[in-house]
Amino acid sequence: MSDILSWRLAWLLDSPSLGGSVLATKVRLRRNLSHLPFPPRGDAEDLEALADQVKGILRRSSPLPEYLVLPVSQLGEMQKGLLVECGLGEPSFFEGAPGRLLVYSETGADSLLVNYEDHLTIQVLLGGLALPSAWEEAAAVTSGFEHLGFAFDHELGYLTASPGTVGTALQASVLLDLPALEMTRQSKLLVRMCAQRGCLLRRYASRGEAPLRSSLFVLSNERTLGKREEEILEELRELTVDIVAREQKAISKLRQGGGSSLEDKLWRSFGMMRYARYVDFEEALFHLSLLRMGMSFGGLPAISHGDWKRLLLHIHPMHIRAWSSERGIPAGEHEVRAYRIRQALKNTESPKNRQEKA
Amino acid sequence: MKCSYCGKREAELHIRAVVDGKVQEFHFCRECARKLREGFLLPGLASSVPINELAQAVGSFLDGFTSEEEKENLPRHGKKPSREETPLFLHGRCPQCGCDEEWFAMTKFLGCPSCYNAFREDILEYLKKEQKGDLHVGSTPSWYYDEEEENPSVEIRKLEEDLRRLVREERYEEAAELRDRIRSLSSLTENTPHE
Repeated sequence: MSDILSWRLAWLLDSPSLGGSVLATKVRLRRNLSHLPFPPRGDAEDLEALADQVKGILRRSSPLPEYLVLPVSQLGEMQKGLLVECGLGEPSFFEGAPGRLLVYSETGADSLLVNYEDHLTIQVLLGGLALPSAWEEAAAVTSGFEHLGFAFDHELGYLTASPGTVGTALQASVLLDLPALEMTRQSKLLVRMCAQRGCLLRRYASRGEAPLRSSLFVLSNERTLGKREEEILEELRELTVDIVAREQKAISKLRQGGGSSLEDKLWRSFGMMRYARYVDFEEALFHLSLLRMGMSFGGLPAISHGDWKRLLLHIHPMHIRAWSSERGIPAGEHEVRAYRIRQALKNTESPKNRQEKA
Repeated sequence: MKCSYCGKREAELHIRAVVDGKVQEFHFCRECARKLREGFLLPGLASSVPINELAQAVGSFLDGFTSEEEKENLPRHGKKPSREETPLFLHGRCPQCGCDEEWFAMTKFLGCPSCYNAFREDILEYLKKEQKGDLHVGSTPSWYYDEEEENPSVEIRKLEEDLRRLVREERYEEAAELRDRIRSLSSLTENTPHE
């Protein structure tokens, strides 16, 4: 468990992309074997046999660098929760079923979900906006399994358990932080704009269904059929760039229009996070987004973008619980969260120091 | 507060926007908001106001006023809008895995790759609405290339995709050339029976 807590996840390590608004990129490719029923209808023996087959391929040729294999049935609740929060799979994947495996590389950048909704779900998770490289990486990993015989149809492309993802079976998404658009209440408008452009924008939900009240959003493609992978990714990239441009515009409007009130708001957030003793999850997300905004245009004492992202992950409920249980700290979740944020913000640099250093 | 445009009904929608560097407030009743969304000019709305943006904003706020039934059709935050928006009903039973409508309705998953043949018409109908009815043009397994050479319809499909892109990019002359090429290729395939 401690290895998950101190994990040097690839998506946490990047330099800020598009003003720091794009936190991570995820690309998923679904593939199924042509001769087997899809996992939801497969029988346990077949699924277990496929899991063994995948393990065999990994031992012989390893399409994944430095991989680890975790049978989902052997994971504890806390481990499952941590992995969900790290972005490696949905809670429904970790509910467990016969032959279900999570395979991941050392940095969590490449991973493979075996026997989830589809036989293989190849997943690449990178920091910032990195759609083309994530796709290339995913395609490279996928090709290592191609000899298993993927189900493919002349007209419909790659066949998936859900008819909604047939075709390229590619699902690409980006995690966005849009505090200014949220402050100016533009999120509904954005959802509509994205829908018009064939994409889905929804609120970030760390544990599956319940969306969080925060300025974190997940943007993903809806269409998988009738477009090349590159086209799907390019459209998603363009939309992401447009949204971030709107965010920047909203920021400059707020700065012009709001005057000192925006500055005051950002500094208040900083003060709260720097000194608060009790912070719930949504409150933390809300203020951390404002902190990032304040740090990005120079007013607030700053931590690096990577440290900020790490903090964002570490204040998730299961990360807090795991951290305190490892140290035997009896304090409640909200108190520990406040403590972890205070600690992280201790190392901030004031803009003055930064200038002197430069 | 009364609506600033009809002056009769109660204003339910209040928008504050920056117009020409000044903060302005707009108060609409439901009826006037609808009118604005539908493109009517409202008396008293200054010409300097960016009507389109306002209408768009009003439109998204109006969603809050829609009836419960209509609400079900709007994308909900956090939850992926369920595929139920375009219903897919399966007729019959897959001879390979035994999957049928009952199982699909329960799980939202098909049973096996053969289901795509067993329920092809139902699925194509559904994809036509859900994915705009296109055929696959993306990457293919490596074994597929050999067959592709013998299959001009695959080539045509890819060209058609290029054609749509050219039209989108307003490169009409190139598009016209490509269209002619597709026509001649299609006439070839129609004459040569395959499969």
